[in-house]
Order: sequence, then C-alpha cells, then structure tokens
Amino acid sequence: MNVVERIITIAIASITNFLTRCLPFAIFNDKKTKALPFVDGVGKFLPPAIMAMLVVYCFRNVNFSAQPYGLPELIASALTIAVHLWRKNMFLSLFTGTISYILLLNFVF
Amino acid sequence: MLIFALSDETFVLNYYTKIPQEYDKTKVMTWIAALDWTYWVTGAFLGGFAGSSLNLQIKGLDFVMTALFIVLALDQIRHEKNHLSSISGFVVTIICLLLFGKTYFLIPTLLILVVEFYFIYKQRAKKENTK
Repeated sequence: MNVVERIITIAIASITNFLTRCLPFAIFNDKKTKALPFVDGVGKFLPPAIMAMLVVYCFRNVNFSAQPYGLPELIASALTIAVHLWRKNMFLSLFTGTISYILLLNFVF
Repeated sequence: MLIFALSDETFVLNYYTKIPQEYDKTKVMTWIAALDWTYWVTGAFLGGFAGSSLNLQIKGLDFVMTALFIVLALDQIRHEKNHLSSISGFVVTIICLLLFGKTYFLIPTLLILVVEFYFIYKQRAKKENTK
C-alpha cells in the first residue's frame, strides 16, 4: 500500500464508521422514538439479548469436538460465574476467571 | 458530541447506570464517555509501550473479554424480571453460529432477534386490544 492508498483506506473507514454512528441519531431522536412504540420496544428488548450474544461470540473459536473439548474455557467460565454470584465483585470475578484460564491453558491442558 | 464518543464500554456503563434525579442525564453520560476515552487512550499507549519493551506473550489473557461479558450478562439476568430477551439472545446466537459459521453469524442473529421482537410486539398489541 502506498501513501495515497492508505489515506483512501482511512477515509473510507472513517466515513463508514461516522455514518453508522450518526444515522441512528439522525433518524431517531427521543421524541420520534416515543412516537414509534415498535422502535422503542426494540431498544428495550435487544440489549439483554446482545449481552448474551456477546458471550456466545467470545466462544466462537472454541472447538468442542476435539481435544480439550473447550474444557479450559468452560471451567474458567464456571469459575467466573461462581465467584461473581458469591462475591458480586466484578473485578474479583474478572481476575479469578482470567488467571484460572491462563493457568489452565498453560499448565493443565 | 456524544455520538462520536460512543464506544462499547460507554454503552454498557450508560445502559446500566441509574443516574440520580438531581444530575443532568446528558452531562453525566458525556462525562462517562470522556473519561472512558481518556482511560482507553492512556491504557492503549501504556500497553503498547510496556508490551513492546517487555516482549512477553501471555497465552490466554484474552479471556478477560469473555469473563467481562459473562459477568455483564449475569448481572443483567439477575436484575431483569423477564428472561425472554437474554435467553433468546443466547439460543439464537448459538443456532446462527452453527448455521452460518463464525464469520457471518452476528448479522443473521440480530435480524432474527428483531423479527422475534416483531412477533412479541404484535401479540402484545393484540392482548391490549382485547382488554
């Protein structure tokens, strides 16, 4: 890639990024959204589903059909959930989950 | 202003924080976004600097992100009254991942979720009409 090509690439990326962020705000503002109960409803319905979707998304590269059958991921996730339900401390949960995953991946499997 | 600052973390925080009545909502959200960006830029800078000078690779560190989403989804599930959205998000995503493969499954997932809500919405409207 030469300099011109790089500039063009960056420009395309900025414009599309800008548009995807701007359009929803341009089309729907608070008043209009209230007038469109369906759009308002989608806004309330989707966020929890998206959270669940992101969890699944993180597991997309895990291969459950071959050794070690996604076990490090599953064990670390179970630990994260357990610690979070027990202490309800986000940083502690993140720390425990990640450290246990690193240990599992490097020393156990 | 806020539009440019919209990042994943900011969305999560703004979505979950209950802003007290006496504060101006837009102001609080803008501050969250601004601070978020400062942390992000500083963090990325320090990380890049430390990473290039230390040159060590920790295998599995990327699980932080998975753990973060697990914790957030868990909090969501604990606080909501109706689990329909969380459960369908989970189930639909898995089905789409199996059907479409790991490169393209997010867009069909979102489309299906919107369609699903369309039917829920219709049903709700029907119920309200019969009342």
